Amino acid sequence: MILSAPSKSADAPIPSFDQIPCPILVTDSAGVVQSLNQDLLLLIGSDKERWLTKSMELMFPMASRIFLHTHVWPMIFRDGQVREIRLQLLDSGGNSLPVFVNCQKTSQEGIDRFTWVLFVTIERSRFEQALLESRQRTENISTALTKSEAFIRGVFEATSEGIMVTDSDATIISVNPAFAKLTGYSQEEVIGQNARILKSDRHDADFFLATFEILQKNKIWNGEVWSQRKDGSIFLGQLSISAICDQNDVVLQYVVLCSDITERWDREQLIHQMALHDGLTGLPNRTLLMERLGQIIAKSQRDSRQIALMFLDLDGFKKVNDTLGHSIGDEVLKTVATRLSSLLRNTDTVARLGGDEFVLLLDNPENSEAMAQIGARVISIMNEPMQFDNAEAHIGVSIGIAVFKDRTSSPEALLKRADEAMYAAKAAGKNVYRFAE
Amino acid sequence: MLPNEKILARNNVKIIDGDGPVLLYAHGFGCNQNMWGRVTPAFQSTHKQVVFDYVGSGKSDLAAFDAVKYGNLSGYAQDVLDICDALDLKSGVTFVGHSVSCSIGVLASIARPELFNKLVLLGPNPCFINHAPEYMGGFEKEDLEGLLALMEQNYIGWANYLAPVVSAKGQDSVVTAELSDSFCSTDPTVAKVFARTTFFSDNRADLSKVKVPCLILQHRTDTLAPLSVGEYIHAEIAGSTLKILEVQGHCAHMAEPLLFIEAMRDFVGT
Repeated sequence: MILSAPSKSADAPIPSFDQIPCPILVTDSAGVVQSLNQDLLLLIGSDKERWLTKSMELMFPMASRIFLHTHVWPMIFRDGQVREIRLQLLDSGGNSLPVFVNCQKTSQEGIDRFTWVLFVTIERSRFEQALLESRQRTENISTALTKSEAFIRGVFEATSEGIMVTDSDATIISVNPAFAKLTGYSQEEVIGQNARILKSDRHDADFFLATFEILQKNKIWNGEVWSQRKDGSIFLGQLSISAICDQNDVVLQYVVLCSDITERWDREQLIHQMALHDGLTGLPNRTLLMERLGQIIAKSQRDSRQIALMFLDLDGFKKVNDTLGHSIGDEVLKTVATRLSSLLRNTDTVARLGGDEFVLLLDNPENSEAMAQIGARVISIMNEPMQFDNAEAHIGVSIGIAVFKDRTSSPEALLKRADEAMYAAKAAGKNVYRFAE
Repeated sequence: MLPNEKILARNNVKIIDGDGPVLLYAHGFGCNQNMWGRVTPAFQSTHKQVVFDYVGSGKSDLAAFDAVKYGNLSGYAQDVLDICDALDLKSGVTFVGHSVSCSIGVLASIARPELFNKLVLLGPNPCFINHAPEYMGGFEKEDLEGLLALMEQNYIGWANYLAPVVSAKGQDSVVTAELSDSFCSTDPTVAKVFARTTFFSDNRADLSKVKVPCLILQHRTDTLAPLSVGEYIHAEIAGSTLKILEVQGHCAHMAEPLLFIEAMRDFVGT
């Protein structure tokens, strides 16, 4: 059958059984070898005579023999053929080689013959193995990815931090439940909108331009942004914006993490206020006074403005405390604060240093005469009686005025000179003002 | 569906009508009922013949597969008894088994000796694994692991290597459905269970319990059931007959059906 391969050209030689570059053998229905070609002999070794009358199953390792008997022969008896059965063939060195096996039954003069073609697939099997392994790896990665996707999705859904993903044009692609809670916009409402719907009027265009530039450069921006909720209220968001880029650095998406820090900001503002102000009167305290004095002195380096400090110490305040009680004393201090504040310009500062000591910082007063007028005016309004529910308090004030002259002098030195001038006023009989030397 | 009909469908039971006692043919591992196709015509005039497929083989009902039940040969033996009951057979059945079905028939006859008249055992092997030195079944465990690997390659095949990775789960059945006619067992998972059950079972201790006349047919040269195994069985089953068929291989009923038929006729009568 093998040798009867048709050829159109009369001159074309028909390859002999032994010339065919593929292992071939012929057996009877019991698998007894009747003939085999050179290519097969080269593989399995030994000489032809030794194989004839032997069972072909001896060419295969045990597992393949079982498969031959349980699967291959039954199929051949059923169908008269098998195609592409995978078996292992034993080579002359005892190694198992992967082979594809085809078998075809032919009958001639009532005798069945079985022609077997074995195709060695070493390279192909290696390739298959590599493919199988890479498939296994891909499956592992895919499993891991699915797990991590579920994990990320879980975090996305469960975190208290708002998460917003936009495309490169800031069109919102996805937001998490925390984001919806934070902004008041449902997921359905914001998806497809531009992120600018969250913009408040607390930042100018330059702010956003600077943010964008940093983001372009560093691919990440961290900072605080005042944003607007759906109901119009504003909140301070602690933002971390990451630009997700492709290999060419082109932005694909922005991922924005946002937490509401408004409460923290309010608290910080309060703490800041408390640190720089007097708790009873709300006036700037010594720290803030000295800070502002420092700022004005710095300004005066450029424009040679006048600066004056008036150091006030109340006269008769101890008596008010002793006779009317401390709560009235506190009311007196508050009244002093109100009267002093109403007297001065916005650019001036009234501070309480503690106890019954106050300081007026005058920014660029005209001249000594004007200062003297202010001093007299302060004494005058302090002397006005103070009416409370069941009490009336009378106080005076001694004032020391120091003018900033020596450009190299410090804020502390100026305060000290005003303090000393105040003592001079006390010594002069109280309820008067005195200029420092 | 009535329970009997369910069983007949489950095992794809086919009856070849004829007058006379019943011949019940049980195929071996890797085969199905078609393998008896060259034998049954010889007994058509003298016997009523029954062929079937084990669950997982041929055209049986795959949904009935149960890895625990069929993890033991007694599960298959139960199916043989179910078939007899479903056909209302009470006695006089001659069981004709090939290969692993010999052990299944032995178990069925021990469970219900009154049901069976005779056993014909073609290429029996009560224990395929070697237990050197007293018993040599023919195989080591590694050989069977190699067989399972070959089954994997041949059943699932090249297509499976290229199947889409992520959606591959649950698609094995689709791939194998295309190969359904290539092998007699159509489902790789089921086939592997049958392979393990077949080759790892040890029914040597059951042989002496057989009380039914037995014909043991050994192939002259059979890797799956060496002559020594036939002699062992012959010695264990009292009153059994051992006959060697001058056939190489493991499938005399297909390779040399005339030899097999002749041996059967002598035993079961015409």
